[in-house]
Amino acid sequence: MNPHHIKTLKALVLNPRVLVGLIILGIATFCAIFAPIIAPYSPEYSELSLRLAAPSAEHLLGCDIDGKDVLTSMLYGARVSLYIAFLTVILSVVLGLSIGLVSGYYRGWVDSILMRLVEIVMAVPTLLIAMVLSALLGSSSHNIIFAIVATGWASSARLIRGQVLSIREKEFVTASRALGARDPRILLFHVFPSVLTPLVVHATFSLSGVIIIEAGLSFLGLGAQDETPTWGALLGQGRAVLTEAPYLSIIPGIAIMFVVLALNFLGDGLRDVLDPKKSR
Amino acid sequence: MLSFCIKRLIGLIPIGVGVVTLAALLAHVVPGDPADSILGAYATLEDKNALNKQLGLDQPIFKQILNYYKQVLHADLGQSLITQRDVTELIAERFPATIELAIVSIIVAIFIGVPLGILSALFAGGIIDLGAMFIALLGVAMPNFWLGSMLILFFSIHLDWLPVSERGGWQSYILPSLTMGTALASVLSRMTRNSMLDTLKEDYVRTARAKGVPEYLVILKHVLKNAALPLVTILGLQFSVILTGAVITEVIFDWPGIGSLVLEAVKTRDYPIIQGCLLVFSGIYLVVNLLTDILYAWIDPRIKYKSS
Repeated sequence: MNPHHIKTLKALVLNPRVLVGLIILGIATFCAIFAPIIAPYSPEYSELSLRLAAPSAEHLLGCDIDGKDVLTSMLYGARVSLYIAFLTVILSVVLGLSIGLVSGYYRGWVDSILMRLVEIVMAVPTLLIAMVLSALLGSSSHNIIFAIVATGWASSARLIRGQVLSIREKEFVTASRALGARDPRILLFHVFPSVLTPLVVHATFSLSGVIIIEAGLSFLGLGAQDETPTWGALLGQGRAVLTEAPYLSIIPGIAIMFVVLALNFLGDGLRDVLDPKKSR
Repeated sequence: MLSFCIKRLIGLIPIGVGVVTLAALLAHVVPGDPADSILGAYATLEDKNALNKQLGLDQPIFKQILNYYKQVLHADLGQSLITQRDVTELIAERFPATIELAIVSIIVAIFIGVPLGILSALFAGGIIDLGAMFIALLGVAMPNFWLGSMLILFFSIHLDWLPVSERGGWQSYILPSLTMGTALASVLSRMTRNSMLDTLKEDYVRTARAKGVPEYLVILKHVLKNAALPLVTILGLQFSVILTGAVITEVIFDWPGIGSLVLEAVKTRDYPIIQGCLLVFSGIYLVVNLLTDILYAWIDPRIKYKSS
């Protein structure tokens, strides 16, 4: 690690927004990974006599409509929600990065075609396409991921293309080309590292967007219908009994809000440290 | 200016063609026979053939796309598979409710977001700024479907001040527009703050102050007017986000708009309605973006010259 990297890392750790974001996100990820150990009950365990039981010492967050422990459902729900969000963003970003790199670097007709495609995809609302795809393909978590990636890649592609357009004119790229480097090498070793910073910031913000879209789909009854409900699905279930058991709606909403807030903090902090020109 | 508008308009054609093609191909997204996915596995062969004929799915794909173009150009979006009513008619019936709600939400967002941003910028770095920006962050982080449920819980069930659902008097607009507008208000407040802080550093602001112009006039005449520019773009870009948010808001508040229409259609696999709604949503996005571009070029002539 060179001194510049150490300085950046230090600035990251010392940035309060990054720190708060990482702590909240860390807690959520910890809960998701260790759900089987920390959850007080098994996710399948339910007792009908405890239907809509209010929070108590045995059931800290109460019980849901089937008499299942809400805390357990929330911990297991974190697994599905975060898994879908992370995988969706990774796939969208990788696809968007590849298209953006090719489009911005080669320009010409390749760029024209790819950018028209981006514009078409961006003209279609993500939630609408995701709703249609998940309804048609069936509501498994992998179909949900596919449904969101189908439109989610476009914004990354546009961002990366814009960056590459200016980077490809920089002296270090010209120098590398003059030294005989081929396009794949230039793209991988010179252009890619330069777009990494805006990409990381973009991916962080995208994560929060995907969490909200996935929860929205589940809320509408079009989300992943796997055995373990996501936070959005728990919120949707709570809506039916809003008057009798308001905590069933309040708790998953707060969890979603905290994670999204943490991701926004993290995104803002990362931008402050890594990309000071664009920060405020 | 006219050539700028024409150029932008021509640029829309390939995107429009692409969106219509996408809508035409929607039934083929699912692997296998689309009739299977609509009628279910137990439908008879006759039923499937009849449906394929009604939807034109028995034709080669290229012909299907061409036919759909012809239909769209004649403002004919087909018939609903469930109610057999004209999709154009159904959309026209539901559209006003959605647009009304969207416009009220934007007005609510402007009235909350812009003053919050101005306050933040004027007291930048202070406790007011910190508080306002934290509220803005919360507004973005709150999922609108959760906010909607909480508003119903508090104002309709607990306090019994406002109606839970259905479109009626002005009171029925309050909760849905707050649900739809809060996220936009948050974005607007952050943008207003940033834009104002930029403008406050400009030379003409310093000159105005040096001339002895009272501070409120400096803010109103010199800062706010110029800081409003980026807000035009944001409002344009966010309009389609607001419309998408309509789907969820309309479901929560039982609002008879295009959002609830599309959800019903998705659940019953009513392809013609889904296709029609897709075109309407995308069309609005494209038109609003075009208007934003033109408005922006009109306000700030530098853009027009740069693009030509």
